[in-house]
Amino acid sequence: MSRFLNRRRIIKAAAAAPLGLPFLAQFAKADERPHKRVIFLMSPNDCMHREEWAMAEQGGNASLPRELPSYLAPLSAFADRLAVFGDLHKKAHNRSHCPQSLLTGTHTLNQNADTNASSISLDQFLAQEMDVDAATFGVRCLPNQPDARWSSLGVDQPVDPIMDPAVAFDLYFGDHDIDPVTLEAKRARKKSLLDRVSGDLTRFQSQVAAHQRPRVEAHLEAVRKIEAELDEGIMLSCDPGSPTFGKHATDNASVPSTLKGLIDMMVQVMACGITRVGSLQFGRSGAEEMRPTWPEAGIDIDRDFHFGLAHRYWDEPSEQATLDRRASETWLATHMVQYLLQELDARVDVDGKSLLDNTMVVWLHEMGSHHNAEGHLAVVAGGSDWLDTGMFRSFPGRGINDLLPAVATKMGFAMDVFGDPEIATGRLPL
Amino acid sequence: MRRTQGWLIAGLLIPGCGALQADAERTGTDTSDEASGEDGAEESDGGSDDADVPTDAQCVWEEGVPSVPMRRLTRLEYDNTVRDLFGVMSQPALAFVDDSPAGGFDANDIAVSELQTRLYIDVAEAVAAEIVAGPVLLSDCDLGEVPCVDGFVATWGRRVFRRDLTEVELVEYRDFFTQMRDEHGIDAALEHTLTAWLASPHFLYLAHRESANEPLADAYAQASRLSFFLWSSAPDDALLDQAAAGQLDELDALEGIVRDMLDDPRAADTLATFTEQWLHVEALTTGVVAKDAELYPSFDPALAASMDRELQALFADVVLEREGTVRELLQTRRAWVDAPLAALYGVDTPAGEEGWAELPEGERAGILTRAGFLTVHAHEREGSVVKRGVIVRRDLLCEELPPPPPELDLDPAVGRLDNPQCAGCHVLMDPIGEGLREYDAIGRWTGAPSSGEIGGLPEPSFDGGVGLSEVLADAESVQRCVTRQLFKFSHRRAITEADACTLELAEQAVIDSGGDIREAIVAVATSDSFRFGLDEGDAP
Repeated sequence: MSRFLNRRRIIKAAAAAPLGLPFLAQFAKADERPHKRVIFLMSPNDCMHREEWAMAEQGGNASLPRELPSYLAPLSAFADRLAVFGDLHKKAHNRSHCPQSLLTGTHTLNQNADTNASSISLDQFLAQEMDVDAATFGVRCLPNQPDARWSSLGVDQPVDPIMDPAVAFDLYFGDHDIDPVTLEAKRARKKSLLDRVSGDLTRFQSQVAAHQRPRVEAHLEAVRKIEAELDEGIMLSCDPGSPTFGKHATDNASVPSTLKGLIDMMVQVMACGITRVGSLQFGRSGAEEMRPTWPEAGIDIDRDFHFGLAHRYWDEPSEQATLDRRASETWLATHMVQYLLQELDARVDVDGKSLLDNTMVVWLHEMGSHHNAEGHLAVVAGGSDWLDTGMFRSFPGRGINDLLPAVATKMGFAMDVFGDPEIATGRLPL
Repeated sequence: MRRTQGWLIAGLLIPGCGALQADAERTGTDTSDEASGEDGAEESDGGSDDADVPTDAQCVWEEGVPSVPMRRLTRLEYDNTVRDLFGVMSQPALAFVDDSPAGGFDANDIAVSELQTRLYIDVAEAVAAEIVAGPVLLSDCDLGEVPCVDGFVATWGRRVFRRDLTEVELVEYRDFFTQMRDEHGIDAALEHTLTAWLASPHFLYLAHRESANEPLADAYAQASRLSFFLWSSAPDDALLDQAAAGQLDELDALEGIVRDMLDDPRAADTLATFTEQWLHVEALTTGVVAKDAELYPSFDPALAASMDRELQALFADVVLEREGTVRELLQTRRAWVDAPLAALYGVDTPAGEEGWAELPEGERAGILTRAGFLTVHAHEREGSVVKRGVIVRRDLLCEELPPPPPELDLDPAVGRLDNPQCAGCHVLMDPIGEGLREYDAIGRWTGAPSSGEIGGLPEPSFDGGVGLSEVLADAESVQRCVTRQLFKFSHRRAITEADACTLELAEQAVIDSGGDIREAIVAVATSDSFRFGLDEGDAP
């Protein structure tokens, strides 16, 4: 799409900048203290057979070797900064396909896989606690239905992910290269516009049926938030550059470039101090519309992720099915996880460490290693000075929801349970 | 086994199934032993009785009128509206978040997300800039003068808000325009005023405003309902004028207006999107449908798009240009094809790039035998007995099929129909799909033996797609179901018990007309429910 979006979060800094000086050069760094950050990743389908990633028997522990097992092999270079959890169960909605319960630690509405989440997801919770906006990204999370939304603001409030890297750039950095005078004029016009829209929304809200007013209120709140951003602004601590993105397309061929672009933007918003919480969802449940026919990305398997690759690997096991599945999942691990870790590691944070050292990446799968709710693999990556890394730990019978309070605690919000206490058994060690 | 029975019975008794079961009993479409005697009582409560079918005004809703829920414009409706009002052809709503469904059709009845709010505002800015730079004459007087500004605000505000602006709004928008004009000039004032309108809830939402306190609020709201149902676009000046003149209040006049609207080319868009969503074939254009490249080298996005266009054209042709009956929809061999689709069907390539062709007799009959329908409801390598059976049961016969029980531990060596955990439902769908085995995963006719059975119909056995279509062509249950689908599409919500009377009237009108789909549309559009429905429901 064209550059419609302009999230003018840098207005205040721009207005304060003396004219005639390079715009971004005027910005002091937002904060000299390093902030801890967290990024959640989701892979669709299961995490393959246990032998593809397990490094100890059920219930056992092991130090991570320099060369990780096949599924995790692309992450071997980061072995000392990984904490790998095996054999967890998804107790929140005990059903195979249901990504919308992964981050909430609760069942979905009516315990139905076709309904939205019934509570806030951990990414949005942490963002609210930190008073930042979560960056919610997703690759082809279509169509707009409950199993295509794993981030949630609360009961029946799924969060729409940004699926176009260009939209993300415009949203966060759209005005970064506009001169201060022009920017201020735009700001004033935009404020007048938003005032007008708010006025209409307020009147409209009083006219609709009472039970619809919360929906209009949500709209009004979003407009007010955009208005507030015009006043507040934040200081950019980096130059976002001027990346070029091709025209966004939802076709299969565009998936690798879209995924890479979204990862780039995720790293950029973290590096620039725009937010400290993000999530990236690879496809909707099953991702059956996606096929790894991406020769330029080094993979060309003409089968869809769900039935063609995941189910075939389970239902019609054969050497070819295993090879195809391993290749597709390795590509995903390489491109989604390894690439993100590499890019975070390449950035220097305000304390001289890498961005990865100050970030926790939490990689979850929609399903466990039996192509159902059991035997989940979870990988946490980040700084070894604040995360207990370098180990594989098997927790058979423990819930993947028990990992959520461990993440929250590491982010500074100590808790033993996140979500439904009836399915929680305390936080896992991290 | 005990668990299976409990689940099966629960499935048959879930809300909605009871009423549907009652329909099936009347029309002889279902012979399930589980049918409950309570259904007749529900029908009586709704005021419907076979011996004394009420007229429209006789529908009495003891627990409040049926609901037409508030919703936001769909992406198609947004694009069509800015096209019809301002000549904007760029389909700006493609940038929006995907539409969310209700009742099986795009509805956007959920709270707007923060991302979509930003998109509404930013797309409005872009569209407004496109309008001001475009050829549409927004004003032919001096916008430096107050009367001219007032005229612009009143005229275009009415078109965008689909109603007269109130006195307060006229003043507010005059002041807004004047402020922008004085600060930034006339073009900027036009642009910002249009942006404000396009980002306003009065443009983005379709809602019954119960506290509007405007004399014509209900009439204008009805005009919007009609136009978005029949045109997938905003009402034009003529329809707004008819609403203001009270013509929508008179049933005879309203019926004439509805029929005129159906004759308008804008009706084709509605029929096309209805077809796509009803038959779940929109996947043909979103890249979701994938086929095995070795088995189906000819299948690519272009062919999928051709299939989609064919289905859209077929439904619109039958309803708008032809006899318009369910029978014709299920029997016609006319097909809108391009060269690749013609090759798939084994017919001559049309003279132009696309055109009408006559498909081979004995291989094809109606919409269920078309490549797009058969392609979507299939696997990668072969047709799907289950998917094809499900779509016929659920969307052609409007029968509820409960979801499969969770986490089954199945023995793969035992077939679905032999496994008691599966057979209860699969016996309803698999035999239908068996009858469509003659079509492969992209809908090519293979001639494979295809004997099917569709339990519940008077003549349940059939051979192949042509046979299935013949069995269904005159079935009242299909005529009723098409009416129900149009009802859900018009109201953008699922059917409830409170709709029984309205549906019975509409379905009977269709049956009396010999299955005329236009009569279904007219019956729904002129129903009390559609005209006077309020926004009832639980808090979100």
